[in-house]
Order: sequence, then C-alpha cells, then structure tokens
Amino acid sequence: MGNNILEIKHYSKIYSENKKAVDDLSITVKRGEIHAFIGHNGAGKTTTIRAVVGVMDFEQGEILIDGHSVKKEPVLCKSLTAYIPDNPDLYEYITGIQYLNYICDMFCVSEGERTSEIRKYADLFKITDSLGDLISSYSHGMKQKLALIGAFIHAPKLFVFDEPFVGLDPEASFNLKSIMKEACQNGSAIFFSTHVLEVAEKLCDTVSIINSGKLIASGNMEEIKGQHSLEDVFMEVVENGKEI
Amino acid sequence: MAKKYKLLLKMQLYSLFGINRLLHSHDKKEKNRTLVIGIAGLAIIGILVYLSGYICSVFADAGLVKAIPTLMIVIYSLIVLLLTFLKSSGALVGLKDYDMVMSLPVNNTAVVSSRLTMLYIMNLVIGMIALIPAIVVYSMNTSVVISDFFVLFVALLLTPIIPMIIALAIGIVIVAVSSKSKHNNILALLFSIMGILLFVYVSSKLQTMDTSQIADISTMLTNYFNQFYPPAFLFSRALLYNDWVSLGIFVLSSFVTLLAFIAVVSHFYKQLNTRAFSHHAGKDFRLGDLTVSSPFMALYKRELARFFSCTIYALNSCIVIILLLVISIISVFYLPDVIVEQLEALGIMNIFETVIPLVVSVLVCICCTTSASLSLEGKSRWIMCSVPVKTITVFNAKILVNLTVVLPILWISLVLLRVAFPQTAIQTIFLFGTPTIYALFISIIGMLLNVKYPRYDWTSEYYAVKGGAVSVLATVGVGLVLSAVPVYLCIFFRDYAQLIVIAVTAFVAIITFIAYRILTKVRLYM
Repeated sequence: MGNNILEIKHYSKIYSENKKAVDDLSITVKRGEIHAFIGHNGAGKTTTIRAVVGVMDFEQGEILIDGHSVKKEPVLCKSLTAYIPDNPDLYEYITGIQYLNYICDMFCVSEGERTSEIRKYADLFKITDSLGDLISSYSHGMKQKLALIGAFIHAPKLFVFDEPFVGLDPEASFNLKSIMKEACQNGSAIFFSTHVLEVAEKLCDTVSIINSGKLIASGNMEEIKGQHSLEDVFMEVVENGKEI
Repeated sequence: MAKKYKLLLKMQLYSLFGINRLLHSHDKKEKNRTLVIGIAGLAIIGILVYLSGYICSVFADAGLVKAIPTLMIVIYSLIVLLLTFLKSSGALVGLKDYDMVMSLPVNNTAVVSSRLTMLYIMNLVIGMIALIPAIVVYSMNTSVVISDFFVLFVALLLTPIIPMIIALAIGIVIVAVSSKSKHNNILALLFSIMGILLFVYVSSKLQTMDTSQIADISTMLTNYFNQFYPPAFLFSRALLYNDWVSLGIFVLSSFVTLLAFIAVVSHFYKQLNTRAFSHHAGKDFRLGDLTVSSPFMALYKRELARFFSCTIYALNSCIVIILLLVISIISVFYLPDVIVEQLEALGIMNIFETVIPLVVSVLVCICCTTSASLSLEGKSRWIMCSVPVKTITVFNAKILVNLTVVLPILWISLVLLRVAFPQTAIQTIFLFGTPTIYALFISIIGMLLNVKYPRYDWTSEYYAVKGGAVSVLATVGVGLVLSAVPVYLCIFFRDYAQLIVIAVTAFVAIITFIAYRILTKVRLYM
C-alpha cells in the first residue's frame, strides 16, 4: 500500500431537494500525519466524517482508506479505522470492561494483547477502577475516555475523531495529545474535527478548512497559517470566502 | 407558581400522544407513522371500551348491578396502581431532563405538580375506558338520578389520585434504597411474568364459572375491598345510600393525600434525585483475563445483555411463549376442561391434533425480539454501524437472540403437547416443524420490518418496544395473518386440514428464505 492512509476524492453529499451538504471535497492524509478538519457549525464536517467511517452512504466521489474503497470494501475499511463521534453514546447496560472486550472481539485483538492494551490506556486515563461499573454510572468525561480507549486498543491505521477533546479534563487532554502523537509515530494517521483552534495549531501537521460544504483551504499547517495564528486565518477565509 | 406550573405542564403535554410531532414535523413518513399509531391507539381504546362494557353486562345479567360501580372503581384503581408503578422509576425521580428543568427558575412544587398532573391525565384516560361503559350499563339497568351521576363523575375524576400516589411512593422508596443493576431488571421481569400469568389464570377461571360462582366471587371481592381499601367503601356508601358525608370524606382524603404527597416530595426532591443519580463507584475492579469471542458471538452476547437489561423488551418478547409452556404443562397434567371448552366453542376440537402446529404458531408469531432490536440501538447505533462486520452478521446475532428465547421453550412445550394429544407420525413431524419454521419466519420478518421502520429517536425504551413502534405492530400483524388465517382455513375445509398445514408450512418457509435473502443485501447506515 502507498503512503496515503486516507484519500477523499471529489466527495459530495446531497440531501433532499438537491441541497449539497458537502460539495466536491478532496483531502489526503498521509501516514504519520495528524490532520485537523475545521469549520463552523453545520459546515459539513460531521457529514464528511460519517462518510469516511462508512456509517453514512454518499452518492458522489470516492473515499479510500489505505487504498481500499469505503464503498466497495466497507468491512475491511472499518477494520482499519477507529471512530469516535462527537457525542459517544455507549451501551449503558454493560460495564466498561465488557464494552472494551466487545470492541476487542470485533477487531479481533488477541487475548494477551487486549489485557495489556486495556491496562495501559485505562491506567493512563485513570478509569481502571471503574471498568467494572455499568456505563450508565459514568460521567460524560468517563464515557469519552472509555470510547477513546476503545479506539486505541486495536491500533488502527486511521483514527477518525469528531471533537475528541470535548468533556475531557486537562490531564486527559494532555494524555490524549501524547498518545495521538505516539500513534502517528507508529505509522497511523489521525483525521479529526475540532473547534479548539489552538489545539489544532499546536498538534496538527496538516489542516483543512471547510465552509458551507466546500473546502476553502487545505495543506501543511505552517504553509496555511504562515505568520498568523490559525484563528486569524480561519476568520479571514471564512468571512471573506477566500480560498487558499 | 401557577404560571410556571402551566408552562412546565405545557412542555410535557407536547410529548403526549405525539400530537406536537404530527403538527410540526415536515417528514411525511413521520406524520404517516404518527397517524397510523393514533388510529391503532384509538382502535385499542375502542376494543377496551367494548370489553369493559361486556364485563359490566355479564355482571348485570348475573343480577349484580349494584356491584358494578364499586368493582369498576376497584379495577380502575388497580390498573392505575400497576401502570403508575411500571412508569414510576422515571416519572418523578431520576428524570432524564432533571438537570434542564431544575436549572430553570421554578420551585420544586411546580415541577412535582406538573409531573403529577401529566401522570394524572394519562390515568384519567384509563379511567374513562374503565368507568364510562360501567356508568352506561349501570344507568341502563337501574334507576339513577342526577345525584348518582354526580357521584360517578366525582369518582371518575378523583379515583386515580390515591392509587397513583401509592404507586409513586413505592417507586420512590425503591429508587431511594436500591441502586440500578441488571438484577433489578430480572426481578422486575419475573414479577411481571408472575402477575400476567395470574391474570390469565383468573380470566380463564372466570370464563368457566357459572353466574352464581361469579356472584360469590364478586361479593367477596367487593366486601374485601370495602374492608381494606377505604376509598372504595366511601364511594360505595356515597352511591348506594346517597351518603354525602362519605363522598365528602372521599374527596377530602384524595386531596389531602395529594397535597401531602406534593409537599413531602417537593421538600425532599433534590435529595431524592441526588440519590437516584448517584451511583456506587466500585473501587475493587481488577483487570484479569478476558474471554475472547468471535465478532458474531460478541454481538450475540451483547444482544442477550440488551434483552435482560430492559424489562419491557424482555416481557413483550417472551410472555406469550411462557404462556404456551404453562398451557402445555396444564395440558399434560390436568387436561383441561378450560381448553376443551374453548376448542369446542371454536369448533376445532375434532381437527385439533392436525391444527395444533398452526395454533402454536399463532403464539410463536407474537414473540419477536427482532422487531424492536434495531430501534433499541438508539443513539448507540454508531457502534453497530462502525464495527468491521458485515451487516448480515449483526442481523444474525439479533435473530439468534429471538431463537434463543423462543426455541427451547417452544420445543419443550411441543414435547408436552405431543404427550397430551396423541398424533400420527406426519402430524408429529409438523407439530415440531411448522412452529419452528414460524419462529424462524417471525425472527427474520421482524428484523426486516425493523430495518424498514426503525425508530432511533426514543427517549424511553418503552417507545422503541411498544408505544408507536410501527415495526413491532407490523410484525405481529403479519405474523398473525400468516398463522391465524390458516387456522380458519382448516376449520372451513376440515377434510383438507393436513394438506393446508403442509402447504402453509412450505409457503412460510419460502417467504422466510426470500426475506433472509433481502436482509443479506441490506447495508446499515446511521
């Protein structure tokens, strides 16, 4: 396989009455890259993310994960991907450890590996003690941490996160940034949406800005923002409709 | 406070019967669905009104006119007690929108009063079903004066209050002293099953009693409730002897109970909710060896956990098959004047051995977990949609749960029925084959219909399983048509009963195969 982990090619999503939620979007995320996907509310970020992870159908364009088509090989693509939505509603009627074991079964993680990976990430996020409790008893932040552990334990090639920092305490946010970098050093790629532009600026290698369903800027973080802050660039391109 | 109370109540009334959804949704499917549910709801109310009127007529024919209002009040109170108790866990304490409501500038009394009013309105609808036919039958069979109607009207309005408060108080005590766990759900399931079986037993007994036995039981019940349930006694006295003091005490006691309850619950409202929302944090968890399963088995185990986690889902799906087992056991050990009389009344006694498979299949078609299983994924469906398994694997796990619930009990029941009713070799083959194929059929059709009509936007599991679940209603409807109609065909064409059983079994097997083929081509999206 090539160096591109995620390739979105001319992707469009049309809702009813020919209204395009996303219009001719093309983005590439390479191995080892952390890619920020930013835009205001309703710009089309979640619509794009859902198509990438194969939970939403789309009519136009192509999305490839490690060279495989999301449309033609959905199960293979899903096995290479970890996804966390903006509000991770988990199964409230099972315990934290049952959820993680379920995810390991789904992604065929070996017996020895799953115990060590769960221990590693649960200790990091400090929720090991609570893994025996029902998820219904977890706070929002704990659910977010559990969903994140579920994403990291099967070491996917592509991580797709929708607002992953929402609900996390400062320590957990710091730890998440560390393991995101570590995963990319190990050859994975991360594609995530965020409204926290300072985090995107410091953490990401590449960035895409979407406005009303259209890509208006995409590329290397340093090249996109130049001497300015990402916030300044975002405000300028969104307000003026200027493409970079 | 009155203004805030009205606003809170108005917000709750928006959710009542989906009327607001019907008025404001731009989704045509959504509107149609709400209309279908509304029509089905009205039909059910019509049937219940008819049944209530019928029961009252039976009492009137037995010369028990005077007992009708009291018994209806007792039945009304018991229904309110049971239904309010079933809803009590999230009706007043531990509400999903607690934070949002309590952050508004309203006092506890307004919140508690608005919630109670909502419950009261729903109970009043039940009261109308139970009492209005009783009032009609009563007034047709006895001389009533305006004052009697006034007493009955007061009873209609005030009867729900005391049982509603008793049920809520029990519910609050349970919330206050217990933590949420799956064992509570299993206990609730067992109690509900026992309650329903008792109800079925009493109903079947009543059908075989003569009027003098019914009269004895009615008198006994009336006396019993007059003795142990003071509101019933007060109401009886008010109606039968125009005792206005009793009516006054009845009205006063209802209001005093209501106001006292509102005062106490409002005072402790925050403490009660804090308790309901705080969970025991286990600090003893140690990560040990984990069981490894295939993706399919992992899905299956999670589906089973889902089944046992939701009382109403489990109860809805398995009560009829448990009933079949009970009937089968009775058939072997007692046989069954009740059953024989029913069969003779239906005119199928002499072909019963042949049509048993179809009769059992009617019951099998009412047991279906799959028709709600997809809807129950609710907001968590992103997990199901994003895991790396084929969609049909997800469906297979859900189908297997239904078969796990139905088949073992079904097969035991069939063995018992085979013992109770002697059969030829061919009849025995179809005794086992036909209901098994129907079990497969209903599991797959239920799955297909839930794929077609999912409902993910529920706020309570009740709405995914019962209230407004088009897929559940449609599955039961299709199942009943395909199982009950052949029973009638056998009755009309008795000489060809065996052939009909064989042909229908083959037909259902073919439909099942086609439906499964369609399922294999479905892809799940959010």
